[in-house]
Amino acid sequence: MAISQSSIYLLMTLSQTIGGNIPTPIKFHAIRGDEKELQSALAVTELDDFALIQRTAQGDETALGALYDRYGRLVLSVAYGVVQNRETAEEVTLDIFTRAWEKAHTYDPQQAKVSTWLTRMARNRAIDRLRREKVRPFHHSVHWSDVIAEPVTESNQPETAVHLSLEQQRVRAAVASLPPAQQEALALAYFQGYSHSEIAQALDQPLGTVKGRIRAGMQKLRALLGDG
Amino acid sequence: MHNENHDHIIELIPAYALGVLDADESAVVIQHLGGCTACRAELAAYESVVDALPLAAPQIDPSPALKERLLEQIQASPAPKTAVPPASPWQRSIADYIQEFLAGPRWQPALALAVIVLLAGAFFIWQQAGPTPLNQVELTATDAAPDAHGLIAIAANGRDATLTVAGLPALPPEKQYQLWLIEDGQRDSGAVFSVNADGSADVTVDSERPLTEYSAFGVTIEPAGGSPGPTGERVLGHNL
Repeated sequence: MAISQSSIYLLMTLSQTIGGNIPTPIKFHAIRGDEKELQSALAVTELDDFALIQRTAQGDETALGALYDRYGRLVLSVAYGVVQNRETAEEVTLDIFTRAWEKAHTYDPQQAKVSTWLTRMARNRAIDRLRREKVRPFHHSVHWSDVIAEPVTESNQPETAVHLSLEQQRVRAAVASLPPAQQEALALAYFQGYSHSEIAQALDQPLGTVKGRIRAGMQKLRALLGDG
Repeated sequence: MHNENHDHIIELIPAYALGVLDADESAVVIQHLGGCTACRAELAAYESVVDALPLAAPQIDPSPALKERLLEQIQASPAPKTAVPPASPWQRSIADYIQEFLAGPRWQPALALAVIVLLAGAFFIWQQAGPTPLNQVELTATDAAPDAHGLIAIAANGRDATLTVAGLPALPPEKQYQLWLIEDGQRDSGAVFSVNADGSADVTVDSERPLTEYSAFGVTIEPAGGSPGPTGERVLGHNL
């Protein structure tokens, strides 16, 4: 062998740093052309979220596409829950994934799961948007999902999608078990970014009542979701 | 002595996690959290609840064309600013060339070293080539962090900007600083960041609008990941 492994690794790391798009060190000289792209596309669906973010940070568009396939619907739904308008919600979604593309290197797995990172950004961005445009959807239109039994086990569905779907059912059931008044107060807080006093005003309820509903709702959700 | 205070604060934590407290109440909670492990654990539990709530948003399906729009948009968007840029065709060809070269049976270590030196040089030059700052906005300390300094450097295009801070206290893991871009009472998030052990940080500012359109800036302490609007204590500020 004419070169040490460490030198090869150094060169490869450097070429990746400069912008090379090498799927994995092991396969790099065995796969060429279309076959290489196909392998790469197949491989990304197998990767965990953090690996996808790392690849996205290296400029791998298929990795960003895979993240979108996993979480695009979730991000759009959060944005729509806030802005109540499909066109604006899709713009926010594009913005969030473009930002994920540009900021993937700042993602810190210690701080939050990838899905949490994306949905926190989506909520914040959508609320920013709402405030900037000074549009406040009529509060009765702001609500949680019904508990719908969705098909979760299509045989070809990736594991992450099945897991997400089961988690969705669990969280929706927990929220649906709250009294409607608590659900309403929590929806205004989560989707509109309202403060206690803004919620009290929107619902025409005493401040103390609203504080009580928020606290009781959060305590019950914690009890229901805590072990998951 | 501070049991009574503790009992009061722990009642506020669910609302604090959800971001519904007014600024003065949030400030009281933040101050208490610094010295109270039990309340920090309580907060972590409620933040998990808030992080689960997106799953209960009513689901809508993206338009089929949205993914295509995304991929078009990222191709048109600038390369990540402070990290590895996406591969452009010529970069890819260099990388491929190196791979083929290394995979081949004959090659010379000296030549490989020369390639490394050249590429490292090119990378260094690429890193240096950033937009030239046009405007600088100095942020001044508040009583909450009297030793803090901040500077926003805005590039000639009015949009690219960097926030540099120093002298900010390190925060517990569940807290981060957040930069607010303020116009007409409206507060947009400009960045969420942590500081190094020495209290400093260099942060890329994120804004849909040119920064020159904002009339004031502020930095507050928020739950990790940031808040939709400022809830915590203000540590830096500037009014233009």
